[in-house]
Amino acid sequence: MKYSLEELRLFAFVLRCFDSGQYFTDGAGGYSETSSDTDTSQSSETSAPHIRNGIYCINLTLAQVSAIKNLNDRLATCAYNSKDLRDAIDALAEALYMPDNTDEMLVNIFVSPVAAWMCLRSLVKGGGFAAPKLITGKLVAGQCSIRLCIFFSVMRKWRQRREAGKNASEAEGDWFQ
Amino acid sequence: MDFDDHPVGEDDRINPGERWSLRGPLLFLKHPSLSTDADDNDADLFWQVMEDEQGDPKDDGAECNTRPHRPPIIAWGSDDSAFNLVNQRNLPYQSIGDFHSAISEAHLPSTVPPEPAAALPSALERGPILRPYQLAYNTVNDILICENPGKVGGMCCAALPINQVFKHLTQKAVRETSDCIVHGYPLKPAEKAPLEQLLRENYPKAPFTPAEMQQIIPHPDQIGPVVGVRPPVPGYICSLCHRGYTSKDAARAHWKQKHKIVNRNPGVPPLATKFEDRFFWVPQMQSLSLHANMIRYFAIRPDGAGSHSDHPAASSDDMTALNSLQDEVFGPDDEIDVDEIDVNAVQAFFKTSGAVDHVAGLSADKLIPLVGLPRQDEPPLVKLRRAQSLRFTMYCKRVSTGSIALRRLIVITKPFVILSGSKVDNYLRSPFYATGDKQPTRSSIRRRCLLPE
Repeated sequence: MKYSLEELRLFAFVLRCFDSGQYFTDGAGGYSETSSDTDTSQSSETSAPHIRNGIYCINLTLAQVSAIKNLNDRLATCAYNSKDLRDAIDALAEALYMPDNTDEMLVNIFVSPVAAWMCLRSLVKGGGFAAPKLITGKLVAGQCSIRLCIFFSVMRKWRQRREAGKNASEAEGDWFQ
Repeated sequence: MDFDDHPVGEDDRINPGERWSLRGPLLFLKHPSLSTDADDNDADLFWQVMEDEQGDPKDDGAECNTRPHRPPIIAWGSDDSAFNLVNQRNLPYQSIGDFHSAISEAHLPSTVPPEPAAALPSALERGPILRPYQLAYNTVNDILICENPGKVGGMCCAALPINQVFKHLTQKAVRETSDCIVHGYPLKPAEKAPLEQLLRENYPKAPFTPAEMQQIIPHPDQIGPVVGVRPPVPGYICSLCHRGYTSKDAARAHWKQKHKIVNRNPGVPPLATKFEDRFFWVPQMQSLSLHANMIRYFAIRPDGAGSHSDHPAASSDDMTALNSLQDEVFGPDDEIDVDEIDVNAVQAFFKTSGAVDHVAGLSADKLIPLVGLPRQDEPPLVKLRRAQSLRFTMYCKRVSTGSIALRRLIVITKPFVILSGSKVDNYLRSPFYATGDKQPTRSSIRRRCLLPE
């Protein structure tokens, strides 16, 4: 259960940032578009584009924004044990763990909210980073969540592919050979 | 304190609990020149290392007495054969019995060991009556002990009531699970009564029957284990009758059998129902014998420093010896402070990964709440927490199910592994799967093959 709480922190992180407007949506060049209304100082903070007026912001892809909006809607309307809410969480997890801006991560890993979340989870009160012993458990929990998500995402897509009428042997060949 | 720094002199005498302590089946003694068990390869390696550190043992001569001495390792229950090296090393004891006596009296000699017979009052007596049968008499607790070959470090170490001595010495077979071995003394049945009579006359305090022996426990002021019998083990002592048990299951069975009725008696205050209240754990308890009808564990007071801790603590001398041995086998450790590695490495990682720059200029106290758990004033996130718990639990169960299915796939051979589509129908018609009246369905095979419905 501790593992699930660690992933919950990630979801809470992106939802809080989104709800409070502490985020950017990436465009062609990364931090080109902002949904925040406080981007007047953007040119003066190009060295740290994730800080706007002294406020920390995360970078979100359009898919991630869509998933967050969808999750917010489900949280407002669905029961906690509804399948729609669970699917919405799955969609957000998939958007976070398998984003479509991986090319930008080669330049700046922190365009990924997951990397930003791990960075912030490593902080200690008063400043600085925690000792490795204290970080490892969080990293392990995060990695478990990532692998779990990818595992079920792959299975789901495989089944979708088969249900779409593809030839079975062809599908197996695509995925497992 | 390192061995080489240890001064030699009057203070070199053994102080119980400080200079020797039990280490499982071994005794580590800080005493000069005592040999290891000849069969103990590890101990031999230990000695080899120590000799390499301290120079050639053959060139000691007169210097030997002024040089700090090595701590020997003596297996508990070692027999006299283990002391074959005694004469080679000029050891002060002529037999393992002398050595155990020395331990029991905490009276090991110092630099120049005196004659053992004169200087070592013995807790184990081996009179002329006992010697032919390799028996000993514990003069402290008044029990006869078998010192024939056995399974406790090569010695039997079983305490014997007098009426069981003959059987113990002459029996031709023992159970495979027994801790005893066949001693095989060729005594005739007619010799039984005279032997018992002789023992009773010479050792009137010794228990005659197993029931009498079970009444023997250490004296109230006795510190340390009963000498000569099996070494102590940790276990659980009944709070009502003070019998000891090595496992919780055995302890529970004892309570159920002996004390369950106590709870039912009217007027008797209710007893605690928790195991911890019924039994208390002790680091050391002993049984005089492990023969089926004579097992009775009792708690003993650990000697010296060991009485203050659950387990006998290793001394700095032990650690020095261990470090030397490890250095010899694995080589010396790199002289790098581990904490320093951690700090430097993690700081370098955070710098190179950009984490330091990422949070530069920001207050950690403001950032940390962003990744906190949902608060009460965040109802949507509280709902998310409940949903996330359900989701994660479900996924974990599915992973488990998937693992089982995968294992089944691996075990059930290839027809199941690559079965799909029309192959399922072919397989259903094949004689391979004709397993009786109940034919598998297409969906059941798909489930077994992890195929989508």
